[in-house]
Order: sequence, then C-alpha cells, then structure tokens
Amino acid sequence: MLWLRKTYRNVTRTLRLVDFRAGVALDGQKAQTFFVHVKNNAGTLQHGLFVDYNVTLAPAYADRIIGVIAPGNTYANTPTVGAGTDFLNGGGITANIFVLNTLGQTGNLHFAMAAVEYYDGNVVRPRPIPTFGSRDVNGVTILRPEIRFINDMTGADWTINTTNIPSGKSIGFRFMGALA
Amino acid sequence: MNLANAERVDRLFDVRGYGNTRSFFPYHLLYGGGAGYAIDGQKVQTFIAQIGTTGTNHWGRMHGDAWFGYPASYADKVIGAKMDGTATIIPTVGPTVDFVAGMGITGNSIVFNTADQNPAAFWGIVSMEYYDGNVARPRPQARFVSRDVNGTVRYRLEVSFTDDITGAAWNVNPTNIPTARFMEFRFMGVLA
Repeated sequence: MLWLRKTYRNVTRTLRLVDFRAGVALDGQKAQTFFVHVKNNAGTLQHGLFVDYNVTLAPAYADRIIGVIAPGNTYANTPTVGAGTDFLNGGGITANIFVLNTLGQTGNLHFAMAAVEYYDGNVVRPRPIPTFGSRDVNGVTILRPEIRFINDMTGADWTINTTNIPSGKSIGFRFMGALA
Repeated sequence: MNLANAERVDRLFDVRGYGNTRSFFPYHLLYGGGAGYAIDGQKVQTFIAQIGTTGTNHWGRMHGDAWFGYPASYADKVIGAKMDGTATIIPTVGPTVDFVAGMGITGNSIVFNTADQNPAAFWGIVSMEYYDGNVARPRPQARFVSRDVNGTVRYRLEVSFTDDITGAAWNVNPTNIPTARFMEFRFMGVLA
C-alpha cells in the first residue's frame, strides 16, 4: 500500500474511486434493479420480486417499489389494476402491461431498460418495453414504471394472461434503471 | 479553493481511470484496479463475451463492443480476461479444470473468473448482441452462482441460456453453436 499525503491533489485523485453505500441517484431517481417473476399457478397468475432468475432471494435494490410483501421474495396473486383495484405485492397487470407501484415519476427523466430473462410458455415470444405510464390505480393517477409487452415479431400486444402463460409456465423479466 | 471545498466539489465528478489500463495515477497499485464507480463495494463493469466453435472446441475472447472489437476498459474484475483480440480455447470448467482467459463453460452457462460475489447484492443485466448459429434462439440471464472451479468454491458471475420460447436449457455446445459460428453477449453491472 502506497502512503498518500492528504493534499488537494491526492484527495481529488482518490475521490475518483467512489463506493456508493447508500445508493446512487440521478436527478432524484435512485438506481434500482430486480427480477419480476409472473407464473401461472393452476390457472391463477401470481408474481413476486427477486434478486434474480433463481427466485429465492429478495431484491436488494428495489426500495422504490411500494408494498412489496416482506421479506420481498414472496408470490402473491396478481391483480388486474384499475380505478377501483389496487396493487398487491408491488405490482399489477392490465392487458399487456405490468405496472409497478411507485411514487409519481417524471416522464422525460426515464432512465431504464428491461429484459425478458425467462419464458417457457411456448406460445409467442414477448418483447419488453419499459416506460413511465400515467394510469389511475385505485383512484390515484400518476406516472409509474410500466413494462409493456409486445409480440417480438409482429409488434402486436402480448397480453399477460393464461393463454400466453399456460398453467405451470412463467415469464421472468429484469428491470434496471432509476426510480423516484 | 481549500481542501474542504475541493472534497465537496469533487463529489460532483467525472470518474476517470479506464479500468486498469490507461490511468496515469497508479490506482491499480492502491486498490487492485483502476478508478471507477462502485455500489456496495461492487465496481461498475461492462464487456462483451464472444464464444465460437471450431470443431468440437469452443473459443472465446472479450471485447468492449461486439462489432469493432475494441478492448473492454471496464472489465478489470474478471480475473485473467484477455483483451488483445486473440481467441483462446475455453474449457469446460469443473473441480479440476480451471478458467482460461477469464472464462469457462458448463452446461448452459458461461462462468466468469471473479472474486467471491454476494448473491443478495446482484446488480446486472445481460443481452444477446449477436448469434448466427441458426439452431435455436438463446435467452440469456445473469446471476451469481456458487460453483467449484479447480478446487475453489465461491459465488461468481454466470450467464446462463435458455431457449427463448420453451425455457429449456440452451447448452453451450457445438450443436447450438456450429463450427465457424459464434455468439456475443454483453454484461453490464457491478462486480466485487
């Protein structure tokens, strides 16, 4: 280990190696990443948030998602959210969209990507599009992160339902980005 | 500008160092790698891994990009990674077989030679950027997996592949990557 005197030049040099222990933020949006698993359990869609495809550990970087059931790696029945139906376990679906329960986001600050990491439905290949969408969920209309799915060839809506995800099958996707 | 102000202002900064290859200041001697951002002790990394086939062997190499093959400047947490563009035969790693050029193959996974990782703090994403095998479409996913490689059991970065519509394991073998064909994928994330 070299010894460094605490001079202006050395401080500016060493600060270039920075370890963020409380999270990284960009314009007030905190960096987040997690794996969302939606499965068809005997005809009922259920979802949970996890670290990864192994679906055992709770996500360490998902604190901007509201209402995730502790300890965070738990499945719950997936609600079809709407004006009179709230989120459960941090999320809900509407047609071809998975909506995440967050505070209000700012549309032009969108900084995120999504990737389907697993799909075994053997029906149609899904392609994910992360967006901030304005939607009334249980009487609250704000911009929230939404993952919109389309047919990866035709661009048609890929609806999150028990047709595209048959019984015993599932889809898993990762969100990586920044959320208010 | 005094020292206190310098510390404050420098927190709004441009982190420089280009991995461990181009820094003027010897960060690699001080910290075991070049300057860079880190999250919970895990340093920001991104690189391309290219895996191809010659006969029954798989060759591999790593790049900064999938098209022009610039060397990756943000891959210093992959131990033994080669950025000189030369392709090396990548082994099937196991309890008695070590990595070569920072990589190994096992089943449907590419294992990267890294320090021990914390599986609960995984922060990464992977995408296919090229595949010309014309057999079955691979869908990649990355995570930290505990595995014995050459007698050392620890959590390392692994990128595993499944068939993108059936979910079946997509093995890294000469069937899925026929001879003279290859695939390339990008990892972007943080590694201890």
